[in-house]
Amino acid sequence: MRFTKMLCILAVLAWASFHLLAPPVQAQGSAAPDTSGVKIDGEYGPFLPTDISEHGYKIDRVIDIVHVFMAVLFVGWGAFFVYCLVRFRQKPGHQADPHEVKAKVSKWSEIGVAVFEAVLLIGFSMPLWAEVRAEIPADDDPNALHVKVLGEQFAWNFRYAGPDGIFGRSAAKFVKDGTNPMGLDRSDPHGDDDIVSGEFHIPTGKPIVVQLTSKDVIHSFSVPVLRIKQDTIPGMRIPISFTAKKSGVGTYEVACAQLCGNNHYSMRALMYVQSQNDFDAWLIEAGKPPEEFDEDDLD
Amino acid sequence: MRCSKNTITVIATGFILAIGTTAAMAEKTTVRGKVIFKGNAAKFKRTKLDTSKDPKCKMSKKSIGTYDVILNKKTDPITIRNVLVSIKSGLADRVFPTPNTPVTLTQYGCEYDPHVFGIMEGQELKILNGDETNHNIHFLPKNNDQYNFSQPKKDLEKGKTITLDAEAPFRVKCDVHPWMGCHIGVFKHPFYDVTDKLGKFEISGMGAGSYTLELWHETFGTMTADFTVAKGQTTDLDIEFEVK
Ligand SMILES: [Cu+2]
Ligand SMILES: [Cu+2]
Repeated sequence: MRFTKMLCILAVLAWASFHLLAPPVQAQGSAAPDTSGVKIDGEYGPFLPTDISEHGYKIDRVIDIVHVFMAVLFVGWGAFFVYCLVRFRQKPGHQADPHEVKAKVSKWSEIGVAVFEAVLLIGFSMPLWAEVRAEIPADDDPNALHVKVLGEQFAWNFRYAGPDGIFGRSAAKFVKDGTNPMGLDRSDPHGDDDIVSGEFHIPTGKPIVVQLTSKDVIHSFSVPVLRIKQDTIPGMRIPISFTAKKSGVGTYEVACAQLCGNNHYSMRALMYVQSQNDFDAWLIEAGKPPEEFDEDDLD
Repeated sequence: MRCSKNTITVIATGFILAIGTTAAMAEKTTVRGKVIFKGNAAKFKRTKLDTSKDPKCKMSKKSIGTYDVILNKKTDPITIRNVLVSIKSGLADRVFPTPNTPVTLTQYGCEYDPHVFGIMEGQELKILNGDETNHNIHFLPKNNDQYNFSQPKKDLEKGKTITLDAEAPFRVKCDVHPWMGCHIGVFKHPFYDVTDKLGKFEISGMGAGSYTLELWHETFGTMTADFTVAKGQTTDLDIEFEVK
């Protein structure tokens, strides 16, 4: 009985170590897998992905500092641990001493770590958070582009205000799968020019405000190249803001970063980061009424 | 125990059915006609569906159309497609055999084919994926099991086979592509049809008698129509579906 138990534990350990030590599949190529039939831009290697946002370098800096700091702590504590194992191993003629050590070095290194962590939090993270999350352009700010994003199992919907710049009314009772996923009230004069798309288009160099909400469960709006990740919660409207760099033109992916059901993995959308001109052209194209469909024309 | 009891029932019903169908076949009774749209047709326009969420959908079909209302505006009178026409009453307690051939439901171009269909209780329903993408089929019935499974790979051979109990038409949707939907009606008899591109239906083999048809449409709702058919005859029945 005990033997089988041991064998089981060993098997699990062997399996785990095999999987942990095996090189990750993604590390083989740096480009994102071509999963949607569309070429995705950006580098996605073992390090941080391409950053196309204006605030992103600050987040990357915090991530870098934390990693270096953790590496120093890991190596330092690890070396000390190994030293203690060897230096204070059981030997004949030695007695265990249960009294604590009163050394200045250990005390000051502890204080040093605490101070460094405080600096990380107060000096870097909090100002960054304040900038990214608190300084959001107002709803009527004409310099910003406002986009309403609705998550649902398992898709993202993007809504633009259209030429008049004002969002029309919407309500759950108008929701219709396929033709009206965001429940727009087309009888509202402000709503008849609203644009709803399954693609996320944004211009570069312009502050974007995204209002996030969800139709069903909690999702998370995650755009790694924009260094944006925010939960979407049903019944709540959560704003986030960012600006894409002028050099960031390309096609990227929006993902859901919150396990939301059995097809969570396929909850993605394409993000087209465009120059203002290309974006305006797309808006005009997307704003046209849907074409009449006649299947006889197809074959 | 349960098994043997079932076998006996199956054999017994099979025997009764065999007699029933041969008799009905001999009579060659048919009801056929079209479902005519009565209302303001300009209100219903079929447009292209936005499938940009998954670019792989376009790999199978260039574009797909909305399906909530499909009117055939090319003929006069205007007819309605995808109306599920079935015999609602008049069959008394007759029992009918379950066909051995399965009904196939294919996901292709990120839409369901067929979009509306009938199937007999216990008849096999084979669900296939013809796309290079993942579909998650999700049944939304009242009585049947809420089937909910993924078909992540293109599979036009094996697919997944299920059977259903009799139930009024219910919706089936895809959880990956929110625009994807279809409807299934499950019957205890084989007398049902779905109106085609020209809005036509044809049901035969029910035997002489007086019956009530039920017409079901996913947007317009239901209505009924009575008809009588004599032995060896065909009844032509054009039905006006009034839409407010
Ligand atoms: Cu999700
Ligand atoms: Cu699908």
